[in-house]
Amino acid sequence: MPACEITIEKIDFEEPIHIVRITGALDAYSFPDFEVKVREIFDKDGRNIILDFGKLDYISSAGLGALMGFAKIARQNKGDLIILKPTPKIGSIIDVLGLSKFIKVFWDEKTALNSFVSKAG
Amino acid sequence: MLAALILLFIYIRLKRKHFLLEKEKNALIQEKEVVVCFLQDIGEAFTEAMELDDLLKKIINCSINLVGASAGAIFLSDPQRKYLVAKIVEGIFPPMTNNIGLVADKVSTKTKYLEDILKKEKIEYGHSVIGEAAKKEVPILVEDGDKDDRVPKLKSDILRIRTMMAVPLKIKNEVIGVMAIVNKWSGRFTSTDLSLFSSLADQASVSINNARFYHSLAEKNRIDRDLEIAKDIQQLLIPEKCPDISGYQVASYSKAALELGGDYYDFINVDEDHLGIVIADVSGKGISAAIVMATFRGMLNIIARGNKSPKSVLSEINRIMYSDMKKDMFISVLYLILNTKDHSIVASRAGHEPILLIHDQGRKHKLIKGNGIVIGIDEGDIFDKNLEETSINLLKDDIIVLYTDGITEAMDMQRREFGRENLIDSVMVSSAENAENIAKNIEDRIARFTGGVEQHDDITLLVLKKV
Repeated sequence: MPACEITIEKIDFEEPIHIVRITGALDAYSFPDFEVKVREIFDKDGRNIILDFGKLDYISSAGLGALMGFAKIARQNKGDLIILKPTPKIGSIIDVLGLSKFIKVFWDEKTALNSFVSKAG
Repeated sequence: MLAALILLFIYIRLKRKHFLLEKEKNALIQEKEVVVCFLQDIGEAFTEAMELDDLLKKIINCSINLVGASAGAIFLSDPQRKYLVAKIVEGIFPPMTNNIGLVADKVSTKTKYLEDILKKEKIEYGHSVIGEAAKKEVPILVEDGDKDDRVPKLKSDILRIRTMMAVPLKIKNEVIGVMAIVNKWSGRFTSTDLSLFSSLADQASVSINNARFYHSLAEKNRIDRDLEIAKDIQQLLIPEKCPDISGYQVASYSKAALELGGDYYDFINVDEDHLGIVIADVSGKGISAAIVMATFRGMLNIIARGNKSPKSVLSEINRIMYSDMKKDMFISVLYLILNTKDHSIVASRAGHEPILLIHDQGRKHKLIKGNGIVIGIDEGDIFDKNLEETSINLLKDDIIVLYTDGITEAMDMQRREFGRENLIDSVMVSSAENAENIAKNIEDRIARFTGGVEQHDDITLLVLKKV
């Protein structure tokens, strides 16, 4: 199993947007670290989050379940949490589970960033 | 005369050497006795209480008493081995840095207060006597604290470190922490004390290692037991055999995995002419997943009776179960109702793998993918809005295959997945066979593909053939 690396980039748009880039696998071992990092963003009033799945090879089903919880928190705070560039495999899992009806999925970063602008405007 | 004097001199030298050797021997015997006594005490600690904190407490208390110190502490390293934090403090053990020491000096000298300060203090590797013992991996003796720069100079007399010793705790050549004692009951610590204290630290390291091993073993046993119980519940929930349905052949195959799990399938008599067939997969594992599955089964068995709309059944279950499910848990469900009179099927797919339909005498296949979201993610409105009902009319020799992702995601040695294409092919090539053989063929193909690689997820398969 590849290890997991998480980096966070803060972009100052009309409102700050946090891009969380995850490389490797989000499983039972790496998820706690990921959760702490996302919660830190929420704690600092960050409510717009892009999860860049471009280099994510694996995510457990429990991990996907927890993501839905984060999306709910973001929306309660009048922001949003979206997924960027999932691999075909993860994209298809999200699709089968019907989660794309619940969380927005984008394929390029610019459109993903703009989705927050159009919402704010 | 001279010769007599020389002989006397040699005799005295020998006697003195003998005396010194005797003294050293006695010290060693005493040290050995102390270590043996220490080991007995620690042995008791093992049988009495296996908690690591209790063990550390016992170790430091034994050391304090055996060496004759007034206070002691055990510091443990962080995983990156950059700093140490006090885990156990006994007696009045002064803070190791001057800044925090100043605060402590002013405010209070109460033992509990000092203990809290010490436990919050991060001592970097290389800093103070404690950090130095960890970094250099050697025992350190400070005979006179007043003359040693590494020792903090605190105003309060009660916090004054007159003399101290610190020794690294090592497991397999890696420093895991530092054990330290301060202020001797009488006089100062000596090199003999340091030798004894080092021996105690070595034994303590072994004990800590054993305790850690015991804990990881106990934790593993607990998880294994949890999974065993979950597996038992799962087996109880799954039907012992497939029902006899006139005009149909039904076969199933399921294999529980060690790690994950949460697959479920069942048949429900909706009414005289309608049979409900369900396949589901609960995310997560262990007892909590098994309980969610049991709740789902119970609810389905009540709500499904007499209700011919799979959508309304799943919608009701989702609304009831949503609030009781943990936030990272969900259930993917495929629920279909077979009309045994007119051979039609109405199905709803709540985020589960689509139905595989093989028709036209095994020549064609189709994936029936109605929209739907897994149960447990949304309280109701979005779930209901997205859940569809799809209809299928079954003709003679049509085959329906229901499965969980454990089938399509079964992996071989190179971590390649079995995939949906292989599943479709397995069914098509054996479509002339009966349902039992079709299921068997899929099972064999998966076994050949995975080549004995242990699977991480449950595998469940249902085959229904119209005859």
